[in-house]
Amino acid sequence: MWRKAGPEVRAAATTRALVQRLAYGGLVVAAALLMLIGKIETVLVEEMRARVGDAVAPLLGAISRPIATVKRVGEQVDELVSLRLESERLRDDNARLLMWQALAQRYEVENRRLRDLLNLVPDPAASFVTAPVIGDTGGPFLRNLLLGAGARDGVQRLNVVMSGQGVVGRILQVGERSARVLLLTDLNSRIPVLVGGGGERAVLAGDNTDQPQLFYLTSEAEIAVGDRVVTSGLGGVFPAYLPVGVVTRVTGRTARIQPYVDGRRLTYVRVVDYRIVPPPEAGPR
Amino acid sequence: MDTVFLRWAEVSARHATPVVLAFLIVLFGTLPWPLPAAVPKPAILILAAVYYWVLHRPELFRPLAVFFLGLVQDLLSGGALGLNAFVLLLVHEAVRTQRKTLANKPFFVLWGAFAVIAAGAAIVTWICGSLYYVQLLWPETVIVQYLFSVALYPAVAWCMMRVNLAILRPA
Repeated sequence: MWRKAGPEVRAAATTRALVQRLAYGGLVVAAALLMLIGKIETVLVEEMRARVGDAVAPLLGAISRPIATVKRVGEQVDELVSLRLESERLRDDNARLLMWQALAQRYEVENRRLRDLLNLVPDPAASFVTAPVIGDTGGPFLRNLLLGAGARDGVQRLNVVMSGQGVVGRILQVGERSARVLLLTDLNSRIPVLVGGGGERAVLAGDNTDQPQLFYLTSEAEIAVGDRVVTSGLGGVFPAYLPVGVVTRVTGRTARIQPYVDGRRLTYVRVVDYRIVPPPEAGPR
Repeated sequence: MDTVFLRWAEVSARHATPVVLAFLIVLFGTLPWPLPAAVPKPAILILAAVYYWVLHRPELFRPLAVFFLGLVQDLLSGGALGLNAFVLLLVHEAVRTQRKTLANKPFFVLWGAFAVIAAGAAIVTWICGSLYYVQLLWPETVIVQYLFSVALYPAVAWCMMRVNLAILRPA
């Protein structure tokens, strides 16, 4: 039969509740402290992230394979449905591209002649690694991808990540067998670019929306919707003239662009090492 | 001895189920699912899962588990370390304190309460994110995530209820 709890039992219950409250408070403080540490000790936190990425890479890699297959099947069905239209479009494209090819060949010859005239140092040859996308990570404030290739595959920090159509982003962090990509659309992404045929200089800044913004356009910059945006090669991360996207909206001295690549629809990407020598760190002498 | 051990292992496995399930939501939620860009990552369902379990089986979903789930999510996502852990802990506390009020209430009330708590979580996430990145962030993604998690709550709650009935209260 149950009796009313004695004073000892009540005291024990109170103590337990108190300990639980303290433990809870400790965890909240720990979470807040972690945010602070993450802000200050970025190297340590990045190292931890790389470790966690490496730990889950084999598992995520294995599970993401069937998803990639489903994606591919979906794409194939789409292709089948639109086969007729697609072939018409391709014929048109082909005719147009042949024209461009002729033009490109002419420019190539001209370019080589001009380079010879100027004694220009050629760009070092690029090498690349093809890596599977195993995680579409990122929270509300960031746009990241996790790749199933890391340092042992030759991926390095600041390597450029490309897909068939254009720039995806750059490598932010490298683990042994995983790497994290900072997408163009991420809040922390800043890429020096050239806009339109006039080659207006601007900085492409991600803000976690699907259409990143162009900043620092000069007041006399003439840009219009539909202008192509390519990397400018300044800043020493991206080489010049990699396709980035198209201007979709112009408002005053800022504009928004639609990147050629939707970072969330990728199965494989190319991680390219353009062997760019980073500029010397600017600092106090 | 063997039967005692087996019984213990079985009970432990049953009791660990909610946390393991939540962990799987976080892990599978980060896979590259072929979703349209406007749809948030499935990892956001963790909020609904935490709400459900703390409401119905708080003894199986302790703050420490919530902390680690948030931390794993933070480490995987590459976002502010500790942010999700912090928000989920606050959600845990909010649900824990409202348990008695919400006991034996119809589903729609529970859903409404989730909408309120998730709104609080979204606001805290946005404020902490803005402080962390030292700029006013676009609240758009947080709002979209909020709407999705509220809309998907019934589905998550239904799945968790099946698990609760099937695994945790065997016949």
